[in-house]
Amino acid sequence: MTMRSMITTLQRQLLVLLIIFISGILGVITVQSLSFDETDLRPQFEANLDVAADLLKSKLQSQLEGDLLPKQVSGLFRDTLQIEKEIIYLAVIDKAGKLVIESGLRPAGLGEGKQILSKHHVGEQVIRTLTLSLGPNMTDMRLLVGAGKNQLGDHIHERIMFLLAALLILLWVSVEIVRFLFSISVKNPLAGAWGLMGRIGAGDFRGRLAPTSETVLSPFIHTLNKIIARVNNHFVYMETLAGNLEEQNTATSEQTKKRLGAHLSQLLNRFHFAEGGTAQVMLARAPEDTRAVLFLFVFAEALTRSFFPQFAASIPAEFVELPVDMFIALPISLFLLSSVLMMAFSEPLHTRLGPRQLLIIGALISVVGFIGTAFTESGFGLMAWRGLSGIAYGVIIATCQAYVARLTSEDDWAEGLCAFLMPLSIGALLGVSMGGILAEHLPFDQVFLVSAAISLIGVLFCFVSLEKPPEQLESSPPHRMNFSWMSDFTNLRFLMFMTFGAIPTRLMMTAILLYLTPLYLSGSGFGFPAIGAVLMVYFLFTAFGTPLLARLADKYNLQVLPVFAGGLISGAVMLSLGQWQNGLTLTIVIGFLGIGHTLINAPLISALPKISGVTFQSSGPSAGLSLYRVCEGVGAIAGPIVAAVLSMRFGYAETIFYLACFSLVSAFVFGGYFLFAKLVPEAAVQDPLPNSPPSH
Amino acid sequence: MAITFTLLLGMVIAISSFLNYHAYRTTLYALGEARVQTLASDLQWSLRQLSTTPDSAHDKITEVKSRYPRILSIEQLLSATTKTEVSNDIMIMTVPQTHASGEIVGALKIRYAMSDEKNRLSTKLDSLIKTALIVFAIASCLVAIAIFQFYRPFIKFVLRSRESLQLVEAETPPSFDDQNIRWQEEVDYLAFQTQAQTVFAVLHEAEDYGLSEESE
Repeated sequence: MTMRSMITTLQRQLLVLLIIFISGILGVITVQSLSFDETDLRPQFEANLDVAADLLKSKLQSQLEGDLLPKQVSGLFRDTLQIEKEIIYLAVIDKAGKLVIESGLRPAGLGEGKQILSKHHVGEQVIRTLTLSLGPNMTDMRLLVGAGKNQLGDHIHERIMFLLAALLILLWVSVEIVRFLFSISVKNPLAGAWGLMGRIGAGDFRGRLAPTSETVLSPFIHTLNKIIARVNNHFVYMETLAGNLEEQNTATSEQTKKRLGAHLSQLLNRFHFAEGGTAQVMLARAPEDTRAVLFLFVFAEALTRSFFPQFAASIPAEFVELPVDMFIALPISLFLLSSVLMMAFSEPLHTRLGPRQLLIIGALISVVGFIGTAFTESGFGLMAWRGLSGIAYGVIIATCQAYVARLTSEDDWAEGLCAFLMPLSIGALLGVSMGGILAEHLPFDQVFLVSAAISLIGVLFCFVSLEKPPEQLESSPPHRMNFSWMSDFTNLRFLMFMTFGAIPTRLMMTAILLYLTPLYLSGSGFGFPAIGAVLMVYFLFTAFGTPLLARLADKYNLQVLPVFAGGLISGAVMLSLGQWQNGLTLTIVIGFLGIGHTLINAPLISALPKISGVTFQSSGPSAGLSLYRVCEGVGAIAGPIVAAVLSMRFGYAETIFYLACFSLVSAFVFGGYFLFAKLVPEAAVQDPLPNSPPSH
Repeated sequence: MAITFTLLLGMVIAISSFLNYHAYRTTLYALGEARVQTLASDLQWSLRQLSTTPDSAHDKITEVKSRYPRILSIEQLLSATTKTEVSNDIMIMTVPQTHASGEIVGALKIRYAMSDEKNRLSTKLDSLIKTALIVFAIASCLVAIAIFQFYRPFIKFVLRSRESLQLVEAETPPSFDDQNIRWQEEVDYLAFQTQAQTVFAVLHEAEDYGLSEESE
């Protein structure tokens, strides 16, 4: 066992403990509450049935005036069943229990004559029996009014689904908070301390750690810093002493000077001391530093996804003769365009400002973007604010990506990327679901304000989780534009990889998820929570599947087959998407789409260092990832526009059909090409990848 | 970490209690609204049948009010509107009133007492608070015990390392030696300790030379 594994075990134990406790607590409170609801609401439900039955009886008596007129009775029954949603069965039986007239859904077990008169529950229905004075002889007839026994249960089950979605979000947010606090209070300081001791072990006393807040580790770090300060001060003192001796010119001082000089040079040969006696603060950085911040920003952005098309449609377009469908697509594409451009050109900013400052700036722009979108009343305003939000999103994603890539070595490429991909997917997964729930209870503009508030919390997280770099690191050398990435575009493999792998997948993703699904589901009568829940299933698979598959693809060097299979799966399920109107089947289809896209994305990212060799070698992994993001961004931007153009001409169902065909064709071309031309040329296999900066 | 856990559990308990309360309230009010809707539909139907005789309509309204004491008032309005709102424990439902010919002739405004629902909500809240407090108390105790158990080896390790570090600072003989080493990190620590000891020793030796000369 190592210290690192002890810390990992401790963190895992804490997270498991948290999950058990939260699940237990939620379970106990929900079960207690539902049992209370069932007991308390059942009489209310039955009282409603009594009122409805009573009123129907009066209506029948007054309308028919004693005569049993089957046509009128049937008409009244039909009207009642339409108005009273709780009532599902109505019948008139004679004194002997023989059925005279009935309407609605007959309960199983009815028709056994008198037995029914003494029963309140028949099959799956609650039955009320009332005496009617009808018929030619004014004999007592019976009116049977039935309501579904499980209607109240269904009502409660709907609530359970809502609670489950909210609680899943709560659970994940709590886990992220504990991970974050554990990282900043235990994991990072300890890793920093051991990194520093490793440096001292190699004779380097030039670094020290930033003082931490009051935790169990702060006295430890304080003592370590004291030792370093003492050594450095002592050395400075010795240098001063040697300087003083230089000024004395006695016989003994000459000998002492020699000995002291020998000692000092021995020290300087073996050790490195801080200049002027003041050691530099060492930044304890880990790929996970940006995890919480990235999660918060993606969560805030995803909050608006389930209802954004409807929100855009509610704003006057102000563009001459622009159809609503096209106007909806424009802000989505503009958002993606500005984010892709920022991803492409944020490298100089990253070098100049550093990740902390850039993230804070990006987050503040994002807050402004959300607030502006919330208060916008014109089409131009919406475009401008979404463009600004896209810039912020691009800056944040590119910064976090570069931060993680710089701290990830070739050996743990897939592992390091998990620190980036997990919060990205989980934030989207939970945000889209939570956004649907919020949109049901709040106006759209207020949901944007909630997003702004979450982004603001993200700014605070930036201040806490990312250490301020020392002064000398602030002024980095000016960034020079590097155009070596252009040579990747002369590589046919790279072009095929992007054109038939990354771009179509991203195009499908934005066209289907950001544009078509919210509109299609909304048109089929689904509410925002249901739309959010359906989208959540997609992100559920990508969140957990992408890191896992990226590792497997890395381990077994398997890239082409999963991409081909993913293309086939996503194309096939999209072909069937138009056939389903039921919520559950639609959810399953969207889930399969998520599986398909995961099968494509994970191996593509894993294969990236090999396929984009020139950029990776000349500019490093961060630039390689940016190039990939920009290329797939072309698909992302085109997605909503293509979907809008096709849906205006052919309708939603046909648009999905054409996109499915495009996905299948891309999969076949990709599979066919890389079946004959290997993904990685033989020469490249021999040629090792460039050394990335080692993770500390 | 125990405080963080307790706060998080408190937050989860508060949010889940609120969500359950909100869900109950929504269902209860939906049932109440359904009942008023039933009454309103019946009234609409009855008044449509009786629309030629206004006195009969008035009698019908009086009859319904006497049969259902929770109906506080029924007003006939001239403007046709559809609206449902709950304020001050009263649900006000306005539904259009139609003539037998189907023409809209005004609206019916029904004020329905929701005091019973309010009492039920209060009972529900009491029940939830009681459960939440019991669950919170039990969970806090268990969390404290569990975190203490999980953190114990780590705290022991940190204290041991700190003691050793203080010995290095005091320049006393090292407490970590080859015999004590269990983890890879301790190898690094031993290297650090050795280097620190060495640098101190060399610095002191140099200092002795320097100071002796200076005193002469």
